[in-house]
Formats: sequence, C-alpha cells, structure tokens
Amino acid sequence: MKKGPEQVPDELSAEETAAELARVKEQAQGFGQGIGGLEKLEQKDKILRNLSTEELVKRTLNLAVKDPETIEKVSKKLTEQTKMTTRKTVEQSSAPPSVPKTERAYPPKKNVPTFSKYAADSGEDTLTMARHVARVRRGGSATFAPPAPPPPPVALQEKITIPAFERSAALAAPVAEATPLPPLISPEAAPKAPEGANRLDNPAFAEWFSSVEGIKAGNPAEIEKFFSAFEIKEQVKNEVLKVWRERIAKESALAMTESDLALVANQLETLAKKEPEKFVALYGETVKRFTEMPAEIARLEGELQRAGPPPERRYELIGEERKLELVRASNHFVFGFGRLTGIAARIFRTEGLKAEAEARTEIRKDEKYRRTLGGVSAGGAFEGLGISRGGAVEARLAEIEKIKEDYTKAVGMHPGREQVEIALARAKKGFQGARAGVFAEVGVQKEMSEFLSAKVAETVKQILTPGAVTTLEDWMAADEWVRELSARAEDKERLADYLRGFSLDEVLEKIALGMRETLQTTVGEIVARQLEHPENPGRATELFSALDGALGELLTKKKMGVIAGDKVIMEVTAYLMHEEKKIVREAGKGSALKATYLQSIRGRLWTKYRSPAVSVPSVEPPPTAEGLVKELEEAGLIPPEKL
Amino acid sequence: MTQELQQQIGALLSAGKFDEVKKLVSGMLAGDLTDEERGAVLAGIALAYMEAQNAAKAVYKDALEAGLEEVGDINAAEQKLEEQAKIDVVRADLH
Repeated sequence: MKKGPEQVPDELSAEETAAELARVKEQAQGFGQGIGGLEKLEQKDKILRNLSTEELVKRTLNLAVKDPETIEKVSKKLTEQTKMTTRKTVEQSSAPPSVPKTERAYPPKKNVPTFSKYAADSGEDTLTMARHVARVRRGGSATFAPPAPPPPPVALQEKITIPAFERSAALAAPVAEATPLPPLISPEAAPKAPEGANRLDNPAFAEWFSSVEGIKAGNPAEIEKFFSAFEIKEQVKNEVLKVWRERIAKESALAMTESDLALVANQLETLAKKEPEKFVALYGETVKRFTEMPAEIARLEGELQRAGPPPERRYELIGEERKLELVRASNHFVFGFGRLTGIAARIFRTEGLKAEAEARTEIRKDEKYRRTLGGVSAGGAFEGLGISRGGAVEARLAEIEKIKEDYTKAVGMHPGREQVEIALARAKKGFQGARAGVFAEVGVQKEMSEFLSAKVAETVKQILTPGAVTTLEDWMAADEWVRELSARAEDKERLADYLRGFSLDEVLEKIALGMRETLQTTVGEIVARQLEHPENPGRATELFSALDGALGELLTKKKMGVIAGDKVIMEVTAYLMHEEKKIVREAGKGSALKATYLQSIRGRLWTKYRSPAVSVPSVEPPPTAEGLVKELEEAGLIPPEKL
Repeated sequence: MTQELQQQIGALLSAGKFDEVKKLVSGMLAGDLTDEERGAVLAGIALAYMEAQNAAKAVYKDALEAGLEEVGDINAAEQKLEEQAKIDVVRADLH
C-alpha cells in the first residue's frame, strides 16, 4: 500500500533531521575504509544527496586548496543538490515524496528491525521504513504507526546557520571536529585531504586569525594564506631570537635586552598578520634553510664518504694565503663594500640600491671573473656569497676520458692478458687519483665556506658594534696602502676590493700577511747576494743597507702605521732568524760569520723599525749569535765542533 | 623608518659613503627608533645574517653535491672499464 504525502510521519523534526545527518556522517566515515570502487561512489552520492547545501559547502571548504579534483566533484554535487532541493521542494508541495535509495545507509543490526522486514510486513515505502527504523534505534516504539503528514516544505528552504561560517561565532566556540569525506576517486589517485583541513577548526589558528584586521573570512584562499604564516611563525620567531641570542649578540658584543627580543618577536608577529605571503617567502624559506642545511650537509658528507674508497688525503688544507688568493680571484663585492651594502639593504629594505645591483650584473658579464684558478672557478660567484666550481667538473670529465683513452691505447698496442692487467691497474690508479682530486676540491670548498661564514659574522659585528665605525680617513689611508700593495700583486683591483671589506686593523694585518712572500723573496735575494762572500769586510753594513732600502720602501710609506710596521719588521726578523738557523745548521763555509752578520742585521733592523710605542710580547727579541748557537746545540741540530 | 631616511641611506650607499651609513645605523640602533622600527631593524639584521650564512654554507653544499656526482661518474667509468678489461682478458686468452 502506497502512502500519500499526508501519511508521511512528522516525527522527523529539525532536531531529528540533524541527528539523521550525524548518523549519515558516521556512515560516511565508515565507507572510506570498507567499500570501494563504484559502490563507494554510489554511497558517496547518497551521502551528498542527504546533506544540506550548507553542509556541502562546509565540506567543500574542508577540501579546498588541498584537493582540487575532489572539490570539483563536490561542486558538481553541490549544484546537483541545490537543483534537487529545489525540485524536491516543488514536488513535496504537490506530489508524493520521491523514494531515495537509502537501504545501504542503514546496515542491519542485531535485534533491530530492518527495512526489508518492515517493508515486507507493512508494505510501506523504503523512506517511511527508514524513518521508522531510525526512531526504533533512538529508543522509540517498534510498533509501526502510520506516518503523519510531511513537514511543511519551507523547512527545506530554511536557512541553517552553521557556526563555522560565522567567523565570530566560530572563534568564540570552536566547532566540532570536521568529518572528511571519503575520496570520490580511487584512494591511490586521490590526493589525501590534510588533517584539520578546515583551518578554522583549529582553535589556536581561529583565535589568531580573529585578531587579523580586514580579512575576508569566507575566502578559503585567504584563510590558507594566513594559515601558512600561522603554521611557521612560532618556529620562525624561535629561530630568529635564537640567532640573536646565540650568534649575533655574542659575535658583535651587542647587548640585547629581553625587551629588544620582544620587539623582534612583535615585528615578526605583525608581519605574519599584515603580509603573510611575504612572511612565509622571506622568513619561512630562510629559517628553513638555516635550520636544515647543516643536516643536509652532514648527509651529503656521509654519502660522499661512502661513494668513494678513501684516498690517502681527502682534504687538502689550502691555508690563509690560498683562501685569500681564491677570494681575490672570485669575489669582488662579497668582501668589499658590496657585502656591507647588501646587508644594509636588507636591513633597510631600500629599493634605491641600484648601484650594487648594476655592478653585480656587470661583474657577472665579465669574463675575467669566469677564469679558473686552480680548479676553482669564479663563475657564478655572485649568486649569493658562493664560489662556484665551474670548470672543475669539465676538467674531471676530461680526466676520466684521458684514463679511458690511455687504457684503450695500451691494450690496443699490446693485446695480451698481462698488458690488459697492467693497463687496468694503471687506469684504476688514475681513477683513484681523480677521486682524490674531487675530495680535495670539496675540501677546498669547505674551507672557503667556513671562511665566508666567519666573514659574514665579522661584517655583522662591524655594523653593529658601537665604536667600531672606521673613519673615512682610516679607510682612505688603508686604501692607499692597499693600492701600494696591490701594485705588487697581479690583480690590483680585486685585492683592493677584498681588503676594503675588513676593518683598518684587519686590513693592515692582511697587508702584513700578504707581504710575507714579497718580503721573503726580496730579503732572501738580498741576503743570498750579500752573503756570497762573507769574508769581505763591510758585508754586514752592505747587507744592512740593502735590507734597509727594501724595508724602507715598504715601511716609510705614509700612513703605514706602527701596527703594520711592527708586523712587517717581525716578519723580516723572523725570516732572518730562520736564515741564521739554516746557515748554522748547514755549517758550510763561513757559516759562523754569516750567522753573525745576520744576527747583527737583525738587531739593527729591529731597533730601527720596531715601534717603541707598541709592545709586542709575543715576539722574542733577536737572540745573540751565542744564544742562537746554544739554542741549536741544545736542540741537537748541530754538533759544537762544526762551528 | 621614514621614506626620507630610507632615501638618505640609499643615497649614501650609492655614493659609497659606507662609513656614514654605519654611523647612521649605529646611531639608529642607539635609540632613535620607534619600537616598531627597532624591531624591524633587528629582525632584518637576523634575516640578513641567516641569509648570508645560508649562502656561505651553500658553497659547501653545492660542492658536495657536485663532488658526489663526479665520484659517481668516476666510479661508473671505472666499473665499465673493469668490465671491458674482463672481455679484453678473455679475448687475449683466445688469441
């Protein structure tokens, strides 16, 4: 017996409808695990048909951004649902209700009447039976009563307010946990919806989001943007404050108070709210790299260790001179003013620093900077602070080809077993050498990286340390000396720019350091020439004059400063002392006389050039000839009879 | 920070008057800033520091990656040559 609309029970009030929806939700959760393929789609379809428009929209938002395919399908369903709701409303006002296929939504339970039983017993339609079963499950009477007239159709069009859509309400009271929809496509192909896909369901985010002004709460893309900033902001704040506390403040001796740190935290918080995208792009990426790179480097180091058999010496230490040489060849701006301007630009976010950008562009074009120096190329050096390896890779490939060619040639000429084995052994030795070359190259880059890292810290210190501001006169004086020194170097401009990046003291130190080789060469030549005939009278005076002239050329330049002067004279005396020891150790003809000469020269130079105003406790005064001989004897370097 | 001040610093930097910029920065950090500006400057310094350190470390990281690739090439070439040598030995024995 079919019942007309007047016989549909009226027990399903608004509350009951909500309860039914909750049940459907539970069902929907179960479907994702146990039902697959087409059946799942059918179930899905039923769920969607049973959901209100608002519920569908809510779920659509849950899936927004993360799952575009699903959202498209859901949108279609939403449209369909809207059409159906309209149709249903019209139909319910004039015709018997349609009979949805809801049997699967109510799996039979023990001691609970089933649709089929009731349908068979009473001849009612499925929808009526479903409503009756629902009542029974809620504890109602199992006796079937004829259904009451249907609820007025206006109930289906009535606007249902969902708290999550009302921003203020959502923030005041967090909504219930979202129920993610099971995938509409196969689980393998479907992107998985993230946990807590409904961003506003996260109370902490909702609270934070509520404090953002002028935001369109209903825009999922907007919400997502802020959520991205929200997700990382605590980590960013922690890392930035950590960098200040543990790195910059210590390295620059700048006193950072807790209130300063609070200002930094506030600034980051403000940026996350005002410009979330910029915050994520700027701080998110930087902090991520800063925290993750050490682990990444450790991983790569491990891989490299495993990739090749350990050569005898993996890392060649290149030393300060070599680093200086590499930097000079590769970095123009990095260690020069560009480094300062780069950081200053970041601090002040100035847009007018075109000069730096233009200069960098020009330098990139300059072929001179692309030359290879000892396997380390300068090309691409201005992508940040790096020094790229450039031609080293090509060189290695050429090395491999050469090994292969040599093998082929050797085997081709003598195709016997023994010759093959010899050629293979030679090739393997070549490969081992090539691997050692790679490790050495990587070692060089490691040193460079550490060097760069230290210089970054120095620069920040230079900017931040009160009182460390070098005057223009200081810079000019240093610059003049840099140019003097650079004139002796092969590449004046690069060295000058390199040295400009340091403080005055550092510049002078570098000058002295850079002079070492020059001094040793110059002084060494003089010493050797003058000592060829030590028996000639007046040799000591001649030697002194020659050295005096060479040193005078270096030391009497104006603005040299006593610090650098002392460093230079220390270099010279150290060199002379070394020569003395060598002469005595070799114990050749006239060695005692030579040593005496040198000792005398050393004393005179020391007296003349050492600044009395500067105490240099680390440098020993030149020993006497007797003292030197005694020292060598005690060291077991010479037998006394040789003198 | 005002637009005017930004322009002033930009002009100084462009003119290469870095010492003056440094003085200005020091002065600003000494207390001429609002709380917001001071926070922005300090956060900016930390950002610059991290970026620069990242760049310095990237030198080594890039080298490691390139080194891995090169060692891989060398190992592959060596393995291939060893295979070739086995064939050459068999061929030599047959002659």
